[in-house]
Amino acid sequence: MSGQRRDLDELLGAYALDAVDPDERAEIERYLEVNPRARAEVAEHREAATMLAFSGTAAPADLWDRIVDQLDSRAPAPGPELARILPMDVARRRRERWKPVVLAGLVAAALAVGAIALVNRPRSGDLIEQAAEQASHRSGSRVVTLLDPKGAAGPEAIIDLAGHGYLRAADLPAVGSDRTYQLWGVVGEQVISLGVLGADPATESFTISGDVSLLAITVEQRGGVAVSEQALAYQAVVT
Amino acid sequence: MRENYSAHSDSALVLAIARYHQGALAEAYRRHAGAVFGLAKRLLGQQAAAEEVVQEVFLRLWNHAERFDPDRGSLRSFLLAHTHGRAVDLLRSDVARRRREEKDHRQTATSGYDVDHEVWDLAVSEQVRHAVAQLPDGERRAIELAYFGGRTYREVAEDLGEPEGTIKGRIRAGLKRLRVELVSAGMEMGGGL
Repeated sequence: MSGQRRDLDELLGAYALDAVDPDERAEIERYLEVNPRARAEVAEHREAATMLAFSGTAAPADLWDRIVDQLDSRAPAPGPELARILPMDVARRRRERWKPVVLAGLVAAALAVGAIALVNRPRSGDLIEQAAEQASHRSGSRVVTLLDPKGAAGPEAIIDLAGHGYLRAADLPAVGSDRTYQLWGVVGEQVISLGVLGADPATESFTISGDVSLLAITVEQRGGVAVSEQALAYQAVVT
Repeated sequence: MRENYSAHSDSALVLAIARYHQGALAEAYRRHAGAVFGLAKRLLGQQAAAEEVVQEVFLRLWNHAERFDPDRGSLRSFLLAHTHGRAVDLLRSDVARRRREEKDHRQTATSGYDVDHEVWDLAVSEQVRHAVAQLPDGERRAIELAYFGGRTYREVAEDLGEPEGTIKGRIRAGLKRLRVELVSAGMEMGGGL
């Protein structure tokens, strides 16, 4: 463990309590982007700390009305990160693997699952690329190349044993500013959005729990979608 | 027809909020606004500022529901973390800082700064009280000053006359110990991957 990493780890508790200076905060947040273990530790610290404030008191009676007054009845544009874990019928997947319809029409079922996947949207391409390079040499990591429908090589994906994934997507052609690439994976019976990659991605990171069997990339409207209806731009079976 | 969200889990509520179902936001508010307001009021000491924070927290949930990840903790923890962060930002603004220092000065002059009293005012559950009581004094005081006092670990170190490295270590170790104690006390804890 490097000294810098040890120093940052030591600050995770203070960071979780908003008790670090702004420059330290920025440094830790860059660190968290590439370190799922540190992210998990911060989440645990926050969960423990917020137990201290659990009971609270009654909010003022008219406060809800003031909030409602500020709600825009029109749905705002999708944010930069949007992902859902969607259940998927295995038999249907086997018959229609990777046809767009597989990803469509599952919103209602998603509500029953009640889960949202975290999308890791990196801010520092260099850091992510360094992490990807290290992961590619790590024992047990799987490296696959996604192919387009004509079989031409596309982005390379690396997934290590801990489920930390990286997509080297710098060579993808940029799409229009109103569009984005989106990465998907199949884990067991679920189709999972692994990340909204942006219109001109570089090396991106993602986290996946469970054994991913397939990866795919679609091009979606800016902000990404919960359920894709688009053809697959790239795909790879992960073995 | 209005959908009844009272039986929905918090995760299902957030999915409905992400689809802009106002009834789901109302149910989330009914469940958690008290805790959010209580923490904001405790940190800021002012009703109006606390109300502003509550509005910000729930509007943020409405506009960015996708940022909640149920695998990383409960909805209440998610909301309280945002509440704390926003309240601390306000506290650290120059005006709020002066007010807080004046308030702290008054407290010191009249009755001494009683962190224990401040915490117990929140009327936390018996299980949480027990868990906090198991922490070594140094860890407990560091956590309380940082979390409820809105201080940075450097400020806590200055307050307690301890090295900064000692304080950040105590905060981290104390939070780990607190989690273990809460779990042993039977509290359900989320978080982690």
